[in-house]
Amino acid sequence: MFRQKAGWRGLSLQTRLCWAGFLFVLPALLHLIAFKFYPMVEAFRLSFYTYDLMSPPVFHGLENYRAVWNNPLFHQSFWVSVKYMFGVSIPEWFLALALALLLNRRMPGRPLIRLAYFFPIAMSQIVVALVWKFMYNPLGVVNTVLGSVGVGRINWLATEETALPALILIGIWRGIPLFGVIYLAGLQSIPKEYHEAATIDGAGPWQSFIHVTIPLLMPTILFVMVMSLLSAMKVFLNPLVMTEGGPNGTTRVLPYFIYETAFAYHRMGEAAAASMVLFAFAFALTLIQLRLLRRGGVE
Amino acid sequence: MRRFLVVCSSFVLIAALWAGSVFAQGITWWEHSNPPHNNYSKELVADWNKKHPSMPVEYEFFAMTPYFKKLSAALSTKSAADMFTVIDTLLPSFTTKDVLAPIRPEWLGYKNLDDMKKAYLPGALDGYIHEGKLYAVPMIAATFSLYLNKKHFREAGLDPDKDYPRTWEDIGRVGQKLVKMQGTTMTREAFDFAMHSSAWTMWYLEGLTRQHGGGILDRAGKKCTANGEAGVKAMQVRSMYVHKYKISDPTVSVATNALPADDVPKGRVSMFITHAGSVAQFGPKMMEDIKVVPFPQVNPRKPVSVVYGFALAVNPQIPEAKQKLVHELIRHVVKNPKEWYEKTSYPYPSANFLELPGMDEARKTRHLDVFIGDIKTGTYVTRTPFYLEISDAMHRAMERVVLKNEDPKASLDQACKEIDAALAKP
Repeated sequence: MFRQKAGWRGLSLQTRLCWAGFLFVLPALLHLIAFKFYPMVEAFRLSFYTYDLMSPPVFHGLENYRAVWNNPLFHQSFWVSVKYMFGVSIPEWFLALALALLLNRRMPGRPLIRLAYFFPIAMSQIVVALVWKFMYNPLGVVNTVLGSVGVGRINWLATEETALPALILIGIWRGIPLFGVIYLAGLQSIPKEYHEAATIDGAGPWQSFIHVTIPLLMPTILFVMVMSLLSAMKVFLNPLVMTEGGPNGTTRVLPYFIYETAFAYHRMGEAAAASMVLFAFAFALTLIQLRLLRRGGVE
Repeated sequence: MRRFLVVCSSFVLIAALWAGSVFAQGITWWEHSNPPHNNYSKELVADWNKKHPSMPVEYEFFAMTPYFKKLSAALSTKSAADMFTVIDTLLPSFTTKDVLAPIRPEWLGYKNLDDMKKAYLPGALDGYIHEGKLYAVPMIAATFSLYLNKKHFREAGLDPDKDYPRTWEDIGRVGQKLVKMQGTTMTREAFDFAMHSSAWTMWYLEGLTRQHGGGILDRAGKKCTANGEAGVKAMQVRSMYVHKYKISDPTVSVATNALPADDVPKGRVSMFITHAGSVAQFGPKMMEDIKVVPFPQVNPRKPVSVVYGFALAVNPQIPEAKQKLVHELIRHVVKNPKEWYEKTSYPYPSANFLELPGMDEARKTRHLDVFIGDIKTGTYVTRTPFYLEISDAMHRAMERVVLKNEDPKASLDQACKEIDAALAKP
C-alpha cells in the first residue's frame, strides 16, 4: 500500500493527470471495445467463413465476397441504398438549413415552434413506422387527402414506383428537425458583429448569407452532410416494418439485405462480407466528403 | 476410506445441486404470436403450473417473423427455450443441423413412431420427420379454404350454396357479378389473394403448381422447376383476376393489414382464401355472413391442396430427464383436441378428430368438414433447408407479374435463376 502511494506520488503532475484522464475515459473505451470494435473485427473475421448459425464456422477464403459480388440482389440493394441515401440527405441539407434560418429569427411563440419541429425525432422509430404505414394504407389519410383533390387511390407501399419515395419522404420528415437543430446551434454561434459589419459595408441579406453565414457555418454543414449520409445509409427499421424490402426488392436497402442474409437465410459469412462492403463504402464516402470540403477551406 | 467417502459425498452433493439447479428453473416455452392460440396456451400453462408447482412453465410468445429469427439465433447460441413452436417449413433448416431433439413416441404414450402415426391423420406427421425420426409434435394442422361473403353473393343475385366456385375459372366468372366499381376505382374486390408475405405466396403458388401437375423443385430438391409449364400456368391463375378478369385490385387488398384476411370482415372483398384460424379471428357474429368452401381446384375430381402446421419441439441442450418432462408438457398441451379446436379454431390432426363427442355441431356450424377435407387432400410444401430463399424469390416473381404485368414465364425464369443460385451454395 505504502509502495503504491509512493509510486503514485513519485509521478509527475503531468503523468498523474494523464492517468486520471485515462481512467475517466476507460469505461467508455471498454464499452467501445466490447460493443463496437470487437464486433467489427469479428464480422471481418466471419466474412472469410461459411457459418449458418447452427453448425461450426468453416474457413472459406474470399468465397463470401465472390458470392456477394455475384448476387444480383446485393447489387439491387446497393443501388436502393444509394438512391435512399441521396434521396433523403440532399433535401435534408437544404430544408434543415431553411428551417434553422426560420427558427433563428425572432418571432412570437418561437420556443413552442422549435419544440413542435423537434417532435418527430422524440418519437420512437417503431411508432413512426407504424403510424406512417397506416397513413400510407390505400384507404389511409394520405389517399383520403389526395382523393379530395381528385387524385386516384395509390397503394404507396406496394407499388414499385412509389414505395421507395414513400420511405424517402419519412426519412426526410424525421431527419430535418435533428439537422435543423444542429444548424441552429451553428447559426447561433456566429457572432452578430460579423453580420452588423457586413450590413455597414452595404451587404444585403442574401450577400450576408452567402459571404458571412455560409463560410462560418461550413464546419456545421460538413458535419450535417456526413451525418445525414451515414444515418440514411444505415436505415433499416422503416423498410423492415413497412415493406419488408418489397415490392420486388425496391425498398430492400443494404442493411436489410444483410439482416435477411444473416437471420432469414442463415448465411452469416455472406452477411458479414456485405457488411464489410457497406463499411468500406461509408468510409470512402466520408473521406471524399472531408477531402472536398477541406479543399473548400474547411478544417 | 474416509477421504473416499468425502469425495463420493461431495460428488453426489454437486450432482444433486446441478440437477436441482436444472429443474429449479422450471420449463421455458416459446411460441409465435396468434391471439386465440396464445390465450389458450396461457390457460394450459396455468393448469400445468397448478398441477406441477415445483416445475412451473414460463411461457412467452413473439411476433411470427422475428420469432423464427430469434429462435435460429438462440439455437445457435444454445440459449433457446426448453420447448418451442416450429413451423413445418423451417424443419429442414433445423433437422439438418441437429438443433432439435428427436421426439420419443414412447414418452408420449405410444409404442413407437408407427403406433403414433396411427393416432394422427394420414401424413400429418410427415412434415416433421427427418431420416425416420420425428422432431416435433403437431399442434396446428392448417390448410387453405375459400371464404365467401354470403351477403355479397345474395346482393349479386347468386346463391352461395349453389353458385360457390369449385374451380379457379369459376372464381373469375362469379367474381364479375360481385365486383363493385366507382368510376374507374374498384371499391370492392370480388376475390383476392393475400399479398403480405412470401410464406402465403408460396402456399398458394405451390398448391396451384401441384394442381397443374408440377412442383417448385425437382424430386431431388436440387433444381428449380417452377418455370415449367405447370408453374407458368399457376402464375397465370395467380394474376388473372387482376389482369384478365379485373375483379381484383392489389390497391384494395392491402399488404398493411394487421391480419392478412382483414379485408373480409371489413367487407372490402367478397371471396378470400385463408386458414381455419380466421374463424376465431373473425368471431361468431361475422361468421354468420361467411360460408367456407373447399380450396378451388383445376380439376375438382382430383383435389390437391397444401397443408402447413406448427408443432412443438424439444431443445436438445437440456438434460435427458428434463427432455422427458418436456414430453409430459407436450402431452398436456395436446391432450384435448376438442378444447383445442373450440378455443383456437384450428383442427387438431388426430385420426379420430371428427368422431370426438360434440364435433357434429362444429361440422354443421363451423365448416369443420371443409377444413378437414382440405387437410386430407393436402401435402406439406417443399422440404428444403433453403425454403426462405425460395419463397422470397417466388414472392418477387409474383409481385412482378401481378403488380407490373410482367410475362409469367420470364418472371419465373428469373426466380429459378435466383433459386438455383441459392441451392448451389454450401
